[in-house]
Amino acid sequence: MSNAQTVSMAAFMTILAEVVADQVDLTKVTAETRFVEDLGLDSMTLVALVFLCEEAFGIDLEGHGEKLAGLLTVGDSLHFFAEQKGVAAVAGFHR
Amino acid sequence: MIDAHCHVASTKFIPRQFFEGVAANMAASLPLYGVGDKSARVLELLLEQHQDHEADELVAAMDAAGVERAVLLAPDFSYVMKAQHTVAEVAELHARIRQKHPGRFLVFIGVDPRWGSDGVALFQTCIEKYQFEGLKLYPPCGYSPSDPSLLKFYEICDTYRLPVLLHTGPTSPALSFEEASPGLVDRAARMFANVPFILAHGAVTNVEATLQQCAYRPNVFCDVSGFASLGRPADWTAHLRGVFSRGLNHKIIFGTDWPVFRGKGDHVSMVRQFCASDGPMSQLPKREREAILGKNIERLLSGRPSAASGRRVAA
Repeated sequence: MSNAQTVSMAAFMTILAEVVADQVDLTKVTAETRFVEDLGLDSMTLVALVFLCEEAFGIDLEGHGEKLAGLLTVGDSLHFFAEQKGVAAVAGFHR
Repeated sequence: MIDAHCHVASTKFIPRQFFEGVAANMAASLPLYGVGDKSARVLELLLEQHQDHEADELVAAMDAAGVERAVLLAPDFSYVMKAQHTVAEVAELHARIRQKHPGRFLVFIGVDPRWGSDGVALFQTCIEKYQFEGLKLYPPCGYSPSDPSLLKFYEICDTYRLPVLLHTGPTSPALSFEEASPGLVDRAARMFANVPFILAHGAVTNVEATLQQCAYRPNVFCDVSGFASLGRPADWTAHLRGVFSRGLNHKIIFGTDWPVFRGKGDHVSMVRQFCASDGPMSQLPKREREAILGKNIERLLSGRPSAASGRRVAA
């Protein structure tokens, strides 16, 4: 597990870059960006993203499958991850 | 609008072994992203996402998306996999779900033909007692849709004017893909010319073989379910535009395959993208759009009273 103290947009963007490489323009990613419609992620990539975020943010998302399926945007996901980590907000962007 | 290919997102109706196969296939791709062996976690994720046991969430999504009715498909996996419920129990539970959400669901019940005369009797009971609207077959369980063991089932469908919807193409790796070819329906479709056969996923996988059947067998149809598996919306939009340009839109039926591809987005998003002004139907005349979105399946259901509508379904 990571020792990360926060859930940061910067860390998330690093993970996203690993997953999607140069398939999408990451400079256009915002809190409102949708994983499927805007980034074109498939279900396997989304699952990989979940596990990589668990590792990077030091959170355990086991038991939250239903909730995870309903997280359609970057912002919603990061705020859920922050909740799970017990931090008030996501570092790096505001909604 | 009718979503003619849905399932209740419930572990009650889909065996754990089916999910294990799907999870193993998904987990096999994870090392590509630097993720280790997570097949057990992927399985848990899938199971957690199938807890809508009475279809309440599905109905809410249908309301949000403007889907009036949906066809619930209840495949029988119990002949080849350890299942939580028998076919009879699955049928009763689906009848209860329909009762809980009056007017919203049509049900195609699955019975593996290898249950023999007991299975035939059970299917007939489901049709008479619960007024289910069709037969759902899952050939990857290990039988051809033209297997002689299905003749009695098709005779019932012929008598009651019921459509048959059969899975085609790949599925959970826990099952066989050998019997999932669209062409295997040919003998049955020729023998039972009055029974409509719907090749599920045929507009998405094995497309040419499917469209050949649809073009030359008057009683063979296909659905677009599983379109979300083709990539991002722009990808499946381009693919389906090609399918819709083949002059077969009187044979093509809308369906999402909910909840199978929920990782690709929620039900509302899928329906909205499908119907969007820049979606796959955007270049079609209104009559053809309406046919795909409901009129075609309504026509196939017009032979008997519909429990979902409480009246005979208009053609």
